[in-house]
This record gives sequence, structure tokens and C-alpha cells, in this order.
Amino acid sequence: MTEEEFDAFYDASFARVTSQLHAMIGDRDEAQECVQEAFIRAWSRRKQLADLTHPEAWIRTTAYRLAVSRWRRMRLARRPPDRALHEVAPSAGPDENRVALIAALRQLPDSQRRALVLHHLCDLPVQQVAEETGVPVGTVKARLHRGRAALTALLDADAGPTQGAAHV
Amino acid sequence: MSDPIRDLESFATTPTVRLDAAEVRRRGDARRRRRNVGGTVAVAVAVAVIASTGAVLAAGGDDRSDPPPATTSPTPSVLEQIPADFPIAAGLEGAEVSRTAAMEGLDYCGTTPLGDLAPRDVRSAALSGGETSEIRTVYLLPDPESAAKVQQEVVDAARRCTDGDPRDSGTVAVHDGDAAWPGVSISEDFARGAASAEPSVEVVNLLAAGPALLVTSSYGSWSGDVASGVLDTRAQLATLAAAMSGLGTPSTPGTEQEDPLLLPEAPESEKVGQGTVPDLDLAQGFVDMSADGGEQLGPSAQLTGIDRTLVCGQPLLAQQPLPTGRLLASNSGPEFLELRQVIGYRDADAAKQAFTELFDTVSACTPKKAGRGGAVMASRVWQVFGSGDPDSVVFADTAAEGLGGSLYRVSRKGRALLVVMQSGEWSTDTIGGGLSDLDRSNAVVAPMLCAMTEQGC
Repeated sequence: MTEEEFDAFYDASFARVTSQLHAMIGDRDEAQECVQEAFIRAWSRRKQLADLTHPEAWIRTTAYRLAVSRWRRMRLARRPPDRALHEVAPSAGPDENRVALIAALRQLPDSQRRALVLHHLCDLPVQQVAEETGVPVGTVKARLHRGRAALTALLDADAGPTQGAAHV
Repeated sequence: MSDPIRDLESFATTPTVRLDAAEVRRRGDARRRRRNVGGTVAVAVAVAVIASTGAVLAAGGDDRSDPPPATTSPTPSVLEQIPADFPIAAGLEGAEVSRTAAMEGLDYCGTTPLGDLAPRDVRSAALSGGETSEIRTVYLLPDPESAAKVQQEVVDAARRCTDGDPRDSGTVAVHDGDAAWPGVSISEDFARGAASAEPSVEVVNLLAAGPALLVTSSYGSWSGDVASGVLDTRAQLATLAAAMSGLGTPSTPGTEQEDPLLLPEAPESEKVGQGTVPDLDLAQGFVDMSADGGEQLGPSAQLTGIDRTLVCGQPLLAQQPLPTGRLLASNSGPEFLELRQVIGYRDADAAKQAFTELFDTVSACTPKKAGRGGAVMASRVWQVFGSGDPDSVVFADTAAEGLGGSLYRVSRKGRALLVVMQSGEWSTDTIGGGLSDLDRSNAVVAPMLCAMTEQGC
């Protein structure tokens, strides 16, 4: 992957993967940091990256793993802001539906939340979700089914207990 | 409320900050350069392993010999602060050192046993970037009981965090201590065994010594082979393990449930008569190196031996047949350690089976199989030497780079295995030079096993 190809890939994918990770982990700032770190790692391994069919999936998976690690969270809590970061957009004001959606997603088990985001936001077919998460297709289907039910219940003001949010 | 799935499908976050692409590439290039030179770090580690082993062997205590002199460790209760020269950043060049705790967020399924500690003193070191990510914190607590208790609480939290718990993030496993690490280790495989080139396994090593508790976190690419990660990170911490012994006697956490790396013993009903190991003088002929800071321990059934030593990720001693008894003695000095261990079995057939399993395990690991992935790791090289005796095997474990290695001779006689291990400043190429000393030591203790044969010798 040449510098030009990487720059184009970075420009095209950064915002999209950050959105996806934000939905998965519920924290925009942490999502930005993790996606940033994933791109740095990608360039440090650009020979392998060039061989990948879906480099964006590699970025997403790497960023997700960084995010779920406690080590990452601890470091983020302590570390001062990176002076090399450039502000690319003012922080958007809170949107009611988006805030509610993120709040509901955060209440789901990790596995359901990740499956929902990969399938509905990343637009991956079930087979690819299974490959990216390392579980059978049937498990993905079950997670999607339960996750959708739980999400709907959580966002419905009149909904009862969220019995659908069981760990699959 | 709108349709949540439709909202999810159109969910978009506008990133507020990001690096320029050129800066991402610059950092990536720096990362790759660091990775390419990272292997040299292993050199210092191997030597440190040797230097630390005397203290390491004190882990299990001693129920037969006199307790070690009080001068071997400071009085814990008077320790008000961590010594200024405590090597918290040993082997971590460029690490940030601070007097704050850095492991308070350690979390197993929502339990954070280090979250509310009130230590008398604390010291941390952190190094991150690319394939090297490590955090270490040493806590100085009010007394040894507090340190042991906190260590146990961390272990208990990890053991309760099993697959199926909705709050778990990865596959958690607890690994008991061994000759190189008298504490305990906890691994969490976030990739759940899937192959991954990225650091996806966290290994947390804990060591309580006197009132001090050392907690470290290391990330590496050990998914599916966490045993290598445990082995590598323990080797990295050898200098710290030795320094911890200066703060007090190590405390080994209890076991709540069976650890796959812990060798169980046969039922008590089998530990009678011939099942026992007689009171052999395994320390016979040891050279006194106490003037140089060395220490002799044992004979004792409680010392840490090779039971949990891993060879290419496999326990050196098989789970079956179960041993019926053990006895150990050790002698350490500057950059030298000798361990003698007798492992008893119910009968000669069981001992033969155990020896065959051990031989197969060691043979399968040679001529060379390095550990995988991870932060500043120390790969190991195993070699088998001919012994000229079908009931005996000689093998070596050395660092792939640099100095530091161990020679083992394991012999079967009657219903027992005899292990003689010597560690020193050897390399893969030079360790064969230690064979004559190993044989001399073996010759001292081997006749003692005649007591464990039916006919005698």
C-alpha cells in the first residue's frame, strides 16, 4: 500500500469506522482514539494490510479490541490530549434519538451490541458478521434477534423488563 | 420513538479530532522500527531470571527445615515506603515512572479489587506503543496480611469471571506460580483463541511479598496460546521478582478451583507406605553461597519445583499418573541456581508412565520452538541431549537470545523421578558446557533413590 493509497483509505474510512465503533462501545472519544491507534498500527504493518481483502474490517476489529481492553481505558483516563490532533469538526449538539440509541445500546451485552452494529450499521451480511466475530452464523442470528428485541424494549417508554437482553 | 434499527442503520458520528494522515504514517513507521529492534530486550531478562531464582524458591515455605534467618528479608512492619531504587521500570526503557497507582482499573466482570486501595506508598511504570504495552504498579500496604488478601481478592475475582458471565470481555484463566514466578498470573484472551496479529491477550502478574504487592499488565499476541504469554511475561519480571523478595517473603495465593497448570496429587489413601517419599538428604553436597547472598532451602515438600514448568506451553509433568509425594531442595547463589526434586508415584509402572510422558513432551518441543508474539518477549529454546540411559533424559531451556538457561536431568528409578536442574549464565550454544556439573550433582543424589525401589540397588 503506497502512501497515497493509505492516505485515501484513511480519509475515506476514519469517520465511518469511528461511527461504527462509537455505536459498539458507546463512547465517541474513546472510539476516536482507538480508531486512530488502529490506523497507526495498520501503517506499521502496511505490507500485511495490502494483502487483506477488507482492510477496513481489520481496522474495525483492531480498534474494537483496543477498546475492550482495560489497559486502553486506563491509559485514556490518564493521558493528556495528543497535541498533534487536529480538530476536524465542532462537537455536534446532542440529538435526542442518537443519545437514546447509544444509551440503549450500552445496556445490551457486548456480543449483541457488536452483532447489531456490524449487521445494521456496517451493513455486513450475517455470514461476514460471523467471520468477524468468530462465532457460528446461528449464534449471530440469535444475537441479532435478541438484540433487536431488547433494543426495541429499551427504547419503548411503555416496555416491560428487558428479558431479551440475555447473554447469548 | 423512531424505529431503533433504522436509527442504528443511519447512525453517524462526526469525529471531532484526528491526526493528519502524514502523522499517522510517521507514527506507524516509528512503531515498525521499534518492533524490529525489540528482540534485543530479551537478553537482560534471561540473566535476571537466574539472579532472582533464590528468592523465587522461597515461595512455598518449608515445613521440614528451619525457617530462613530473619536477615533474609526486612521486617515488613517497619517498611514505610518503597525503596527509592526499587526497579519498577526494569527492562522498560523509556517507561513513565510515577508515584501513583496505575492498576486501579483492573476489572474482572465488574469487580475491581484494586479500586479502593489505600497504600502507604505506591510506584508505577508504564510503557506503551506498538507491540510493547506494559503497566506495573507496586503497592506498599500496611502489613503482609493485607498484601496477601488483596492478591487473593484479585485471583478470586478472575476465577469468578468465566465465560457465560454477561460482563466478561474475554476468556479468563488463572495460572499458578512456578519456579520463575512465585506469585500468580491471570490471562484474559479478548480474541477468545482466534488467531490475531494484534495484542489481544492481557496477562496480569501478581506477586505479594511482605507488605508489598506487585501487579503488572502486559499485552501480547498470544491468543490461543496464553501459556506462552504467561511464560514470557514472567521472564520479563525476573528482576522485579528478585527485588520484591527484598520487601518480604512471597505469599502464594490459595486455589479455589482446579488450575489446569497445577499438578494435583493422588488421594490421601494412596499416600501411605510405598507411596511416600522418604526423608532424603537432597541438600547433600550443596556449596554454601550464603556469603554471596545465596540461600539453601529444604529438603521440603513445600518448595516450588518443576511441577508447573511449561515446555512449549505444555506442563512438563503430566496430569496422569498422579504423584503421591514430593521432596525438594535448592541452592542459589549469584547467577546460579540448583534444584533437586524427587517425585514419588504409587509404583514403578506409574513412574515409568510419568517419565515417558515427560520425555515425549520435551522431545516434541525440540529442536526449537519459540514462544509467540507479544511485548518485549523472551523466546525459549529447548534442546535434548543424549543421556545414554533409557530411564534418563537430559534437556536444556535457554533464552533464544542472550544469556540465561537451565539444564535438567530427569531420571526414573523405582517408583520415583529425580529431577536435577541447574540454571546459570548459559546461552543456547554454551549450555552443553554445564553437562558435567549436572552429572556430578546427579551422581550425589541418584543413589538415594535406591530407597524407592523394591529390591534396593
